[in-house]
Amino acid sequence: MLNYFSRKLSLLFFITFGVTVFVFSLNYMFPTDVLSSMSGLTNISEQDYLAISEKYHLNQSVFIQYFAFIGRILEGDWGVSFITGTSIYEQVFRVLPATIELAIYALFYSFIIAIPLGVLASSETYPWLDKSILALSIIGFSMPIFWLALLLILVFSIGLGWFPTSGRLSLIYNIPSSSGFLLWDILRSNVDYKAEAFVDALRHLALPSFVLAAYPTTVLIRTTRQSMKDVMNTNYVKAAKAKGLSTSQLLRRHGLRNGLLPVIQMLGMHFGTVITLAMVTEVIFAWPGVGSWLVDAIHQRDYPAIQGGLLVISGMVFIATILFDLLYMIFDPIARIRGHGKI
Amino acid sequence: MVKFRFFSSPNNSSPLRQLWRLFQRNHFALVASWVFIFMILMAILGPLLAPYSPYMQQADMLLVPPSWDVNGYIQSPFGTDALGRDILSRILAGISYSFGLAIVAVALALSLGLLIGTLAGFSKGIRASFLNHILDIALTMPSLLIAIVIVAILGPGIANSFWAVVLAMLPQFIHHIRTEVADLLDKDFVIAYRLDGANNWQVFRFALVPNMIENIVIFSTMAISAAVLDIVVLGFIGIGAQSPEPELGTMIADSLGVFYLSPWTVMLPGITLFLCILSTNIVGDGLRHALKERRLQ
Amino acid sequence: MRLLDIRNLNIELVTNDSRIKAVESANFSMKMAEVSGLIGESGSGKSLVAKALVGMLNNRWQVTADRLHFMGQDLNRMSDVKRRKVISDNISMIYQEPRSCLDPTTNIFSQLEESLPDYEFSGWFGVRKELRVKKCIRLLHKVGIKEHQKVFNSYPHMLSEGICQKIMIAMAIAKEPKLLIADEPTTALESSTSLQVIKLLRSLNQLKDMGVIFITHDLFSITSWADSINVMYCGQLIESGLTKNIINSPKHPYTKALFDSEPDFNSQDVNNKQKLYALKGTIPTLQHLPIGCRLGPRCPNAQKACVKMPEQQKVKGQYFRCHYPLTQNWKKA
Repeated sequence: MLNYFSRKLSLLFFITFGVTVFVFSLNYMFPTDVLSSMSGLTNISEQDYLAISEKYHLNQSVFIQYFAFIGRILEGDWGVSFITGTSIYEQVFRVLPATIELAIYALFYSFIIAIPLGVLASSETYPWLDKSILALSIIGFSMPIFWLALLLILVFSIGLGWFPTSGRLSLIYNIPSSSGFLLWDILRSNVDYKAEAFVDALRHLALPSFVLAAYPTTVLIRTTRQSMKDVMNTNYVKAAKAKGLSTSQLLRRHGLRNGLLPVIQMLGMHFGTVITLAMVTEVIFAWPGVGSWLVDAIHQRDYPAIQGGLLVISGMVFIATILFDLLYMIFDPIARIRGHGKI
Repeated sequence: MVKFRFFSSPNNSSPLRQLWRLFQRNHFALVASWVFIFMILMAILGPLLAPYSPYMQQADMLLVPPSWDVNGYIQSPFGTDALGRDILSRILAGISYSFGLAIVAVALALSLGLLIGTLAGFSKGIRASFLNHILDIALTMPSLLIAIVIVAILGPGIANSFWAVVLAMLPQFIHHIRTEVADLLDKDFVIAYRLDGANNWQVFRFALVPNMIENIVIFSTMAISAAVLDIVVLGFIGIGAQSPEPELGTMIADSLGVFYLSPWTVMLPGITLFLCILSTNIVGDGLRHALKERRLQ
Repeated sequence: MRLLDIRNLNIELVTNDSRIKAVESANFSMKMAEVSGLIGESGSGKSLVAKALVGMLNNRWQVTADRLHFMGQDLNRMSDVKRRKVISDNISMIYQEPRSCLDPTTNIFSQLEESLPDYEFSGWFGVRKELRVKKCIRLLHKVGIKEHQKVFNSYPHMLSEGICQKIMIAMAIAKEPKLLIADEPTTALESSTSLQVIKLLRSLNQLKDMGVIFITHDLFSITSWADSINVMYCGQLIESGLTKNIINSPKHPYTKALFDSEPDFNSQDVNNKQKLYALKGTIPTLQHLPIGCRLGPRCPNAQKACVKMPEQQKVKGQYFRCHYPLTQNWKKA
């Protein structure tokens, strides 16, 4: 057990090192002045230049610069934006909760839709059900996410008028922001239009989270179906069946427990993809998250902002991967001894 | 029931041919493979077949509906967009941009990945474990994110997004081939072959390649659909191909303003795109299924 | 009353373009509390018969029988649910690879506990739980595992094959079945452990009046204690009868070959560098089975009639399927 954690920790350390080195080296790769890319200041005057390069250790070796960079990251001094001139650190962590909220709801939806469908599809009693679920999942898998979003907007927003097309909340509601997670904030606030605001937030959330959920759902359906098929064909399940367990007992005691292990692994592996898809979804639905913020930064060549966004997104992906890995370890007794430092 | 099939001699045809025979049984996949081949042909021949230049603007033909509509003209079968450009010509050019480039990108990533992955699979000790860690980092980063970062460094443009997609897919190819090579090298028949005196090249050529080829074909097919998606998404969010280029994602993004007024400007490129990706995925799936069946026999 | 009576059992493998008869018209019967050996080379369909009995085969296999009686009940006439109930209450099976038959993510206690019958323990929840734990401990002790607490908390991958097999036996006897099917229970084990397992099965048979079908390819692990022996070749049950009859006067050429191929090192007839006896040829694959008697191409006595499936004959309580049975009592001669 201890061995396992030490391996994971060393891996985490290595990954953090790799990512920070990469983000740091971006300073040199961007087609702009190294100093302005680090600090976020443009039009630095001659006399300021020396003083600022002193602060960023530009006249010293690259290693010193790197450690200074790490130090600044830990302090929360991530430079300022080229465009707005405000602190990147504050900007990023203001928009981050919106993305996390979207991604978590989408994953949650896909989890509760995909697992039952996958289990149903794995059953050999209804081949037609299997075929139709599989066809549905391959169609969903092949749908470019932005096109799916446009189709849904056309049908549900323009045609039926059920859901709004953009944003997180109508402008008529004013919710004081404390945690950044909108639903939570609404529940905690003490405004008198609480219920209406909550419903409005849910209606804004419906389309984006559905669009985002499409990809993980299809992947999960396929994984669940395959792994349930494999598990139901193993000797131990057949032996348990011969012992006289009913189908529901079989599923509960042996099937799901073993069949969902690869699903957890798959979720961990695809979390990164979900985050990038969330970025695209945010652009379409004008969702004020870190994705649309980063895309704006790329459009405006706001290099310090690109670095900040990258750091946060990759950090989020790594943390999620390791969390899913831990979850996997809790459920699989064999992984506990194996415990390779593998992601 | 035929108990004896006199002509059922044991078949010794090559694995790929057996795979193809099993693949043909799945009719869906067969139809999808025709669509796939059709799309490849369009990607090559499309610019020659297109009736107009994809950039040509006709000021008197703005937002003409497709020819099956009452108000459509037969001159432009799929209608025109907000600048009076013929959508059919743009879609034909778009297939070679989005789909053709994706295939080229996969081919390039595959050959680079084959080279590096095989070398990595043969290496041992500290070099291998160092490479593993680097790959682990690259693999946790989703390919689209890597592509976005690379575009951010290189700047927008179709050429840059092509390189971004190649570089973003490379780690997956390297990882896939490396694990496959490392697994195969541990197998007893490879060790026996080595003991017979085969050198590294012979081991690679006669022991590894025949055993890897099917998996590589399947993996590359799946990679094509991912590459198409990456290219069009980059185009759609405006950091891939730039505006006048007839790239399918960019085309859709361009027409967003007139989407409600004339939906065909978005729908037709979207359907083309969907068909490309769907056929690729079904072919990949069918191949994977056929492989599983062949292993069962 | 017979414990088990099967007539004309066929097990077919249905694939996309073919049906393969893996087991062809097998007749099999046994008395209460009898030990019956099922012998055959690997791939001869012994395990299939056992798995078909407990219903472990998946949809690709099709099982049909003219008569399927278990303790006087006609299993063929029951609904699926009821048949499954009768079988799971009365028949248990232990398997070739014990570890693969244990769920890797569940600890041993819960797996053992779920094979206890539900009806047996009444009372309040807490009391019932305690009774069940006690029963599980007793079961483990009975199969010769002393450290019950340690084993209860373990997962299958932490235990040796031998222990896993003993746990399987404990699970199999938890319901006190009338029939225990042991499908090559000793192949994965070392010889000392396998002896323990056989001793255990033997004592269970004698103390609990439990019928045992012992499936093996190893003749001498069975001849000493089985009451009757059934020999299978390529999915055909070719000979069955009392053990001493089968040993002393086999009627089917394959049975004789089977006994001949095990040299008897105790007697003096094995000379130095003497060629050991073996039947010529190899077992045909399932896709290329010969018609008629499946031993045909390899049989030393085969003649033209052998391309027809021989009817079952009975001589002095010994059943066999052969057109040209061996007649002389060769062991005594």
